[in-house]
Amino acid sequence: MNQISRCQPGLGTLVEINIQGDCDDAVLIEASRHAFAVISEVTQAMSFHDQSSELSIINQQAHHQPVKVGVHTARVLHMAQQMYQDSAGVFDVSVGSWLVNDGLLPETMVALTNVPDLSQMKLNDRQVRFKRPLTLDLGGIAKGYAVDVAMDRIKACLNQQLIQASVNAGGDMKVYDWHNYEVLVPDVHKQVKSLYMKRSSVASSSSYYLAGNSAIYDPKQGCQVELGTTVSVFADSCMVADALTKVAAVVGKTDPIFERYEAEVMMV
Amino acid sequence: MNRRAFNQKLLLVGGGLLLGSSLVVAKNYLSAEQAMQTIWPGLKMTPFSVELSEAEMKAIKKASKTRVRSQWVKGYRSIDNQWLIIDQVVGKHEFIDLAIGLDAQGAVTGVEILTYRESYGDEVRNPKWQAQFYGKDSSEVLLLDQHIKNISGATMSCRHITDGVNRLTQTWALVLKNLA
Repeated sequence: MNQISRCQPGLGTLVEINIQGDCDDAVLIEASRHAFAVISEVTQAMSFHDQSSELSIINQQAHHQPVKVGVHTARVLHMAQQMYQDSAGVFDVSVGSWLVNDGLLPETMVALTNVPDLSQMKLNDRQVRFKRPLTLDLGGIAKGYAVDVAMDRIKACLNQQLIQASVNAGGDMKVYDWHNYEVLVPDVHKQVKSLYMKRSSVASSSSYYLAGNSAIYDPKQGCQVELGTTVSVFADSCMVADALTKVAAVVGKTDPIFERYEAEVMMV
Repeated sequence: MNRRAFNQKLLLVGGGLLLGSSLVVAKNYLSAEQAMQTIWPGLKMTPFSVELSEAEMKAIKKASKTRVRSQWVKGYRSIDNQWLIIDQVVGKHEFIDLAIGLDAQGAVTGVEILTYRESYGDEVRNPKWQAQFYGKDSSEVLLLDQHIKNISGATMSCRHITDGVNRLTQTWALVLKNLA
């Protein structure tokens, strides 16, 4: 058995990849290279900060004309739309203007007066169209997606040789052999709790990370959610876990949506 | 790459678990040589070190808008001017060791974190947090996924690293480029 541990900046945080396999170093390096490469693709496509990213082009142009996006952005937008519908509007990636107004995202060329309402986004395969100006921020879902596709690349590179792997993007993480795998979750007082993984992926949200700014909004109330706990969501898809932490922060842990996505919510 | 070097080592620095109220946990990733092999596979590189003059440090600071802490630039270079710079940035509180690849045109070809250090305060008093470190010191080799648990929810900012990369690309443009 051989293993590699690498850590690189990406997705606005640090991304850590560990791989153990019955293979030589070259295979491990190649697998980690593929995983970091796809994370870099996702970072570039969905960066709010980068004015030339696909996300920025959508925010600037989709209310004028349909914008064709790449496969990563399309998959994330389809999930965001599905999650918006399934959560009755609680999960809404069009809260970007609020994040900018509250100083959590940088000012860009997009209007700050855009009112969130993802029902105004129309998706046709890879074509995106807004019925009126919207400011999307994919920060609450894209990181989880990137973790999913990174793990897919690792599995594809190692196949049967894979023994264990984990991808951790600033707390959104996925583990290949997740049974009996423990993960530490800090509570709002920064005391860590140890939890066993209940699915292959976990994502957590807490207000202490941002010192009072939770960066989670209740779109119906139009305000930030005060989180008294750390919300951790376990699911098979890290993208789903990532998105559902925001839903759980607003609606609590008992809601039919978690069952629908076969997710488990823990509050510590 | 040898397997031992890939393994995770945990260094407990500072006050110590039982005595102090804070400690620094260091996570090791690739060694400098391994980073060289991943960023510049197969390339023959030799160590270099350059001492910056005060004027150069000032110029780099001005161009990168980032403080220049050390007057030394160190790492490896190839005969055709490909670079691997080994550097440190200050994270939230602690040093982070980096390797950055720069090609003959000064473009970034790779950034690897070699050692990430984080200081913990309140967590140290938590028995569950402490439990995972019992019996482990810098001489014991640890496999991350088996011994030291991953954290879900720890936000690590990459801003300091971005600043460090900017500083080093400016260091290339103002100093290293002219050494060719």
